[in-house]
Formats: sequence, C-alpha cells, structure tokens
Amino acid sequence: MSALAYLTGIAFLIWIIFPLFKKDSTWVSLYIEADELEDKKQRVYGNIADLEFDFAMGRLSEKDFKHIRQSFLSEAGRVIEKLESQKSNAFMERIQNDIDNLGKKKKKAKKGKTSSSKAFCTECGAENLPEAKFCMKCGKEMS
Amino acid sequence: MNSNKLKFVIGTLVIVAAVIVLAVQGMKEDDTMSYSKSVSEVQMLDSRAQSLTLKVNGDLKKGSIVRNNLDLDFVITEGNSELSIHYIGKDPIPDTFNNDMDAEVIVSGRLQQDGIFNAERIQAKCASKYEADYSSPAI
Amino acid sequence: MADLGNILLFFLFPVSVFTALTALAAGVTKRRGLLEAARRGAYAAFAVTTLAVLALEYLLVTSDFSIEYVASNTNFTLPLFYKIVALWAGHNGSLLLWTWIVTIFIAIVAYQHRHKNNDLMPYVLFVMATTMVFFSILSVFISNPFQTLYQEYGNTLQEFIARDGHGLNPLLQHPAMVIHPPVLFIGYVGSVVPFAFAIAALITGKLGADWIHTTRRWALTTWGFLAVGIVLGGKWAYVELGWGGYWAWDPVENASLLPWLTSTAYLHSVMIQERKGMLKIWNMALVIATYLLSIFGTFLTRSGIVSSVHAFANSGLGPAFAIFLSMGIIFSVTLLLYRRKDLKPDEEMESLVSRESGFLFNNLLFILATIAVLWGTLFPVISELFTGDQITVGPPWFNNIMIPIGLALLLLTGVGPLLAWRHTSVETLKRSFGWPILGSVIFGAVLFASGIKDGWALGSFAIAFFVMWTIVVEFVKGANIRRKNSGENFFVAMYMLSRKNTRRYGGYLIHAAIVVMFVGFTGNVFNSETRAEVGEGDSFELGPYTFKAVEIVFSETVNYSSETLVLEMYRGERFIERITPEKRYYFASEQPSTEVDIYSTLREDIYAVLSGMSNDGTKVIVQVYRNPFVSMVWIGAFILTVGTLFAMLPNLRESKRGEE
Repeated sequence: MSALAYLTGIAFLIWIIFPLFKKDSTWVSLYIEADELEDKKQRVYGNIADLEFDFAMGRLSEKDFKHIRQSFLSEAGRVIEKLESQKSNAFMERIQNDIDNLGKKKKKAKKGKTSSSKAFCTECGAENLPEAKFCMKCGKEMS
Repeated sequence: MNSNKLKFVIGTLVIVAAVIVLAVQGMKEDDTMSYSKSVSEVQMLDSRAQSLTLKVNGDLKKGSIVRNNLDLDFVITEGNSELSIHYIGKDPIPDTFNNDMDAEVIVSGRLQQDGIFNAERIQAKCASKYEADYSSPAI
Repeated sequence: MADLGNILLFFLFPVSVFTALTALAAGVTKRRGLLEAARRGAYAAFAVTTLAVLALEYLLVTSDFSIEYVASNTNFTLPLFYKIVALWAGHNGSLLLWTWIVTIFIAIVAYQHRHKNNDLMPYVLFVMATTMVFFSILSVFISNPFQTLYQEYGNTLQEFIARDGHGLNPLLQHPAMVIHPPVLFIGYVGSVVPFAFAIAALITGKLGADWIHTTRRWALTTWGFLAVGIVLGGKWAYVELGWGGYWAWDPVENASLLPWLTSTAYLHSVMIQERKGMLKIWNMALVIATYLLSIFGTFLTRSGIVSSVHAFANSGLGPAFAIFLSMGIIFSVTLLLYRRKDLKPDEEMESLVSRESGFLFNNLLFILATIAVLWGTLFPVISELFTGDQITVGPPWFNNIMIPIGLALLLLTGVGPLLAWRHTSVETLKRSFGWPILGSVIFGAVLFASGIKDGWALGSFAIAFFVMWTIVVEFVKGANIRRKNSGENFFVAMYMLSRKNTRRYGGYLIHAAIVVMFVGFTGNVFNSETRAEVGEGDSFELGPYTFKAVEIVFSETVNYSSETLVLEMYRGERFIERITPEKRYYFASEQPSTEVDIYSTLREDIYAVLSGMSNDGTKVIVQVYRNPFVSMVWIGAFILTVGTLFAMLPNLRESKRGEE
C-alpha cells in the first residue's frame, strides 16, 4: 500500500515538473493604460444604465435626466476615442519594435538613436510615435 | 476640504461617537462584565469582590454534587484550594456534569459573604480526551 | 491505509511549496512553462489531498481504532452516516477539511483561468499556494489526523489498538452539525480567492476593476456560504445546546460573524467603485480584512486564547497562526501603501443625499460593528494585558451596541436603493419616502395600541415594515413599467425584469430575507419561560397554554438509553400537540445529552427541555420556553439562499427589435 502511495506521489511530481523542461515562451503584458480606459468606459455605460433605470422608476425629473445623460454620453464618447487611438498606437509600436529589432541586427555598429522616430507629449512628456494623435500615457491631444 | 467632505467627516464622527458612548455605557452595567478568577485567586479576594460578577474556573470535585430539585451544590478545586458553589440558575444543568465525570467547570456569579459562591451560569467541559481507558493490549 | 494517507498528505507539503515557488517565478519571468507547472502543482495538490481525505474516510468507516483520530471521534456502533462526517468532528480532521477545501479552490481557479489572465494568475496562484503551504504544514507536521494511537505501558509509549472508540460527542450527532462545518469552511476559505486577486493586482500594478469583476461571483458565493454557515451554527446551538437561544455572542460565534460583516460591507462598497471609481483602497482593504479575519476565526477556535463551549481544546497551533496572521497583515499593508498613489479615486462625493453616501454610511456601520465585536471578543485578552484582570463582556454589552447598529443598517436597506447616484432632489425624496414612512408610522401606532410597548421592538417592526414596503414597490413598479412595453402578464413581467438584472433583484430578495430575519430577532424581546417539576399526571401553565405530563418513558437503542417526558399541550380545552423532550445517555462516550423538543409555528416556538430528575426519581424537571418568531430566522435564511443563488445567475439578454 505504501509503495503505491510513493509511486503515485512520484508520478505526480514528474507530471508537475514536466512543463519546466519544455521549450518555452513568454507572454506579453497588455498595456495598463488601456485597462484604465476600459474601466472608465464600463463605468460610464453602467452610469447611463442606472440613470435610465432611476428615471423610469421616477427618481429623477426629466430635466435632470436629460442633462445628466448628455454629460455621460459625451464622456463616453471621449473615452472611446482615446481607447481607439491607444489601440492603434499600441499596434504601431509593436510593428515599430519588430522593425527596430530587424534593423539592430544589421546595424550593430551604429550607436545612438535617431530622434526623428519619436514624438513627445506636451502635457506629460511621455514618448509617443510620430503618428500618434493622442498621448499614450495621459490621453492629451498631441500637437 | 470642501463643504461636502466636511459634512461627511462630521457625520462619521457623530456616528463613531455614538457607538463609543454605547460601548462605554455597556461596560458600566453590573451584569455585563465578569472577572475571570481561578479558585485560589478567589480565596484571596476581599469584600469588594462581592459586588462584582466573577467567572471562576476549576475542576469539579468528584462526588461533591448534591442536587436539591432545581438547585445544585458542589465544590470546585484548583490545586489545594476549594470553593463551594450553590447553583440557583434557571438554565438546564450541562450534561457533562455528574459525579463520575472529570469535568472542568466555569461558574459565573457572585461571591457571598459566607464564602459560598452563588452561581448563575455553569459551563462544563469534559476534561479528558480519552486516556488509558482501554483494557485491550497493544498489537 | 493509514500509512498511505500519511504519505499522501505528506506530499502535499512539497507540492504546495513547489506551486508557490513556480507561480512566483512565473510572475517574475513571465515564462509560460513556469505558469503551467504551477497550475499542475495546484491540480496535484488537489488530487493528493483528496486521496488523503478518502484514506481517512476509509479508516473512519472501517473503524480502524489503531488511529487516534478514529478512536477519539467514533465508536463501533456509531451509525455509518456519522462515521463519515466524523471527518470534521475533531480538531485534526477539521483542519484537514480546511486544507482540502483550499486545494479544491486553487485547482478550480487554476483551471478556470488556464487560458486567460496571464498577468494576474501567477501571483494569484502564489498567494493561494502560500495559504496551502501554511495549512499543509499544520496538517502534516502538527495536527496530523493519521497519527497512531499510543498508550503508556510502564515507562514506554506503545502503539495500541483500542477495543472500541470513544464515540462521537452527542452534541455533534445532529444534521445541522453535519453540514455546518463544511458550509462555514467554504465561506472562510472562499475569501482567499478575492484576496489572492487583490494582492495580484497590487503586485502587478493592474489596479483596474479587472480583479473585482473576475472575483465577483466568488465574493458573492463565499458571502452566501458564510451567512448560511452562521445560521446553521445558530440553528444547531438552538436545537442541541438546550438553553433556548440561538446566539450568545460566544467568541467562536463572533469569529464567524467578523468576516461576514466585512464581506457584506465589501459587496456594497464595491458598487461605488464600479460606478464612480472611488474607494479603491477601501475595497482592497476590505477584501484583505475578510481573508485575515477568516484565518483569525479559525485561529480563535483552536488556540485556546478565549474560552468557549464551542472551541476545540488548546491544540498548540496558536503561535503558528499568530505568525501567519502577522506576516499576512504586514505583507498586505505594505503592498497597499506601496500602490496607494495608483489607487486614487476618479471622482468625488457630491452630496450627502445620494446613493454613494448611503453606501458609505452602510460601510461605516458595518466596520463599526466589526470593530465592536472584535473588541468584545478579545476583551478578556486585552484587559488581562493591561490590567492583569481577565474580564469578559457578556451578551448585554454586545446587544447594547449591535441592536442600534443593526436597526440603522436595516433602515439603510430601505433608504439606500431609493436614493439616486450623485444627488437626490427633495421632490424625489418626498415621492419615494412619503408613503412608506407614513405607512410604517401607522403600523407602529397599531402595534403600540395592540399592546407592544417595548421601544426597540416597535422601532424594529416599524423599520421592517418600511423596508419591506420599499422592496415590494421596487418589484411591482418595475414589473408595471416593463408591462407597458412588453404586454406580459404581471408575474411574468416581474420574473423577466428580475432575470434581466439578477444582481439588483437578487439583492432586493436578500434584503427582504434580512427583514424577515430581523423580525425573528425582535421576537426575543417577548420570550417567556417557565420551569416545573412534574410526575405523571401533573400539569403546569405558560401563557395561554397548559401542559399535561402524560407519562415518562424509558427506552434504549444500540447507541444510547433514554428517558422521555411526554407532554400534551393544550390551549384551554383544545389539544394542540404532543411534546417529548428527552435525556439520553450514550454508551460509548459515557456522555449524557439532552434532546429538546420544539413545536414550531410561524408565530412562535414552544421549546421544551428536560433539565433533570427530582431527588426521589419519580418526577422530572422540565423547562418550557415560549419564543416568538424564531421560525422567521430560518425562513429568512432560506430566502437569503434563494436570493444569493438568483443573484449569481447571468443576466438574460433579450434581442430588442428595431434598436441599435
């Protein structure tokens, strides 16, 4: 009986350790900024839904309802726009990275980075792609 | 701090203060707090202790239980000290409480002038897990 | 088989350590292989512990008395059912149950998220595995249920097979006892999942609401299990302990209440984060507190630092738990402080008369309640530290604080849902609250006129009426609004309405359940009792009822012998029911036990206990309690379960024609 237990235990251990010896890969983290904007989008949608429910149940005057709803809708609009630009930014940067890596292999001797391939946000100073319309970090419109 | 936040802070403080008042007031009532003492410590208490509710724990002295219909008299011990208990409470007497049991007892009540402890509540626990009660030999 | 169990259980320790380390490494290096290894470690931990549990069950069922746990908690003639559930009757076995549930949950979480959430998962698994490591150390090295039985022979300890076991404590031989520990443990252990996700969010910096969404169902489920577990404990105490009540503010009872209080606060405050992006740090703190309080609760019942009729005897685990708890507190607080800048609120509170402020006050009250109960429970320890005297506070102290807090919270359950987000105008307030307030004031006046004079009871009933009114209005109004568009029949409309937003309407149902339970609690104000010494043919009275002692019966089963008093209950001339309280003596454990008999109606419980025998043995002493509204507590708990299950259903999505 004990022999059985030992064998089972060892079999489990082998099975568990197995993935450590396979050919491996890593995963890439998603951008944290996009998470925050997603949250905000969900929040605004939720607010709109709650607002409509409260109005239907008579807890809000029509004037208040229309006024607050409008401000929520424009907020939602802004958030969605930022999200779209971020996604395109992220995509562009991924491509740029791959291109840069290819380039680095060929131009190993070259030192220093060319400054023309980046733009900087006037609000927060973060690095962005030259084509970016909105800053990746703070969301401000790029000049 | 804007006026809204101020209102919140004040509201919070008022509620917290109310709860603290309740807590402190609760401790002043006589039958709420009980002081835990062992049997030997009780012997050393003076007459001030008679106004307090005490919680005394000790071992039941086997054979000391005397039942008088709804009342109960028994003795608890700790080392060499003994304390006589008179139970007049209305709660049913715990089942683990009989003359053959090795029981740990916790009584709640007041010490009287004559040295007898008037217990209003009894809690009893069976002391042993089960020690060498078995007559069967080892394998 | 014991050796098998021992070895399997032993394996849990290295497997847990391995899981924890690979998970941590996976988080740092982001290597998939490491994460997969950690997941497999979780699965293996589950498998190994399950096998160990089965091994222990085998020993219990076959009554292998060479094992100490089996001999302590069962005996040969114990019914099979109780042999099986003896798994958690004693200290070591219940710890193994705890550990087992941890492994079940880590396996589920690992499996649920095997294709997603790579960023958080390593740290989630790391935190859960660390808990697993701790409990495996306890189960394997300190409180091992597979320990063999030893007996002193002269100067040596020898292995020994008992001829028969000590039997299961009679107090535990009851259906409610059977499910109370597993249900409660699921509630306790479940708190580790939101905790793990919160810590993972703090470590990775992914502080969006992702971790909250992922753990929403876990948080709700564990809340539900805790609530039911607590009520089951109360029911068991009511039926088995024989003092006529279901809650005594006993340290062990309080220990289970504490995480439930913080968990309830969390379920509410999380809605503020979802709508306004506020209270981010607060929600994290609540999740952390719930987990730590669950560990603390388990610690309290096993450490011997507070004495309780429920507690296991001092098991020597105190220091280990204390260390684990301290490390947990330090680690969590450090992380929170480290990330506090990223947890700033997105919006601000605008008005005192808004749903946000309602939730804030709700949370404030729950936290105050938690602190109060914690203070009262630990008071003996605190007072001894500072004054040298060990002072215990009794139920009156707890009730003094908890009743006002409870009623304030009850009031909020009616007021809160009717407040709008951001700000509620005066007209809305008048419209929403006008009729319900009037109704409840009239209701209170009617009660007063009919003889109820106790202020707290009147307040409680009036508030209950108010809250129930607002809940009913929510359902009815909502259904009517829906009917205008859908033309459905009223009840169908109400059902469809609820299914489209299960969280809201499930929540309302749970609130209604709480109202019902509060009515039950308030019944305690009107409890009455009497005690009588009766022989065959005697009778006595309580309130409008007369009780006649018909006979005293002696009988015996394999397990125990018993003495039963047969009482007939009358109201005037009308016979109502036979009530048969009993006293039993269990042979194996040589322990007596009292079996109360309860005649339960919606309006009241008639509760009879056999206290003892008269000196000459011809009469018995019986105590009869008349407890109004106790059934409401159990019925309310049932409604609460239904509401919780409903709230977990996914929302029904209907295709709307002509929109979008």
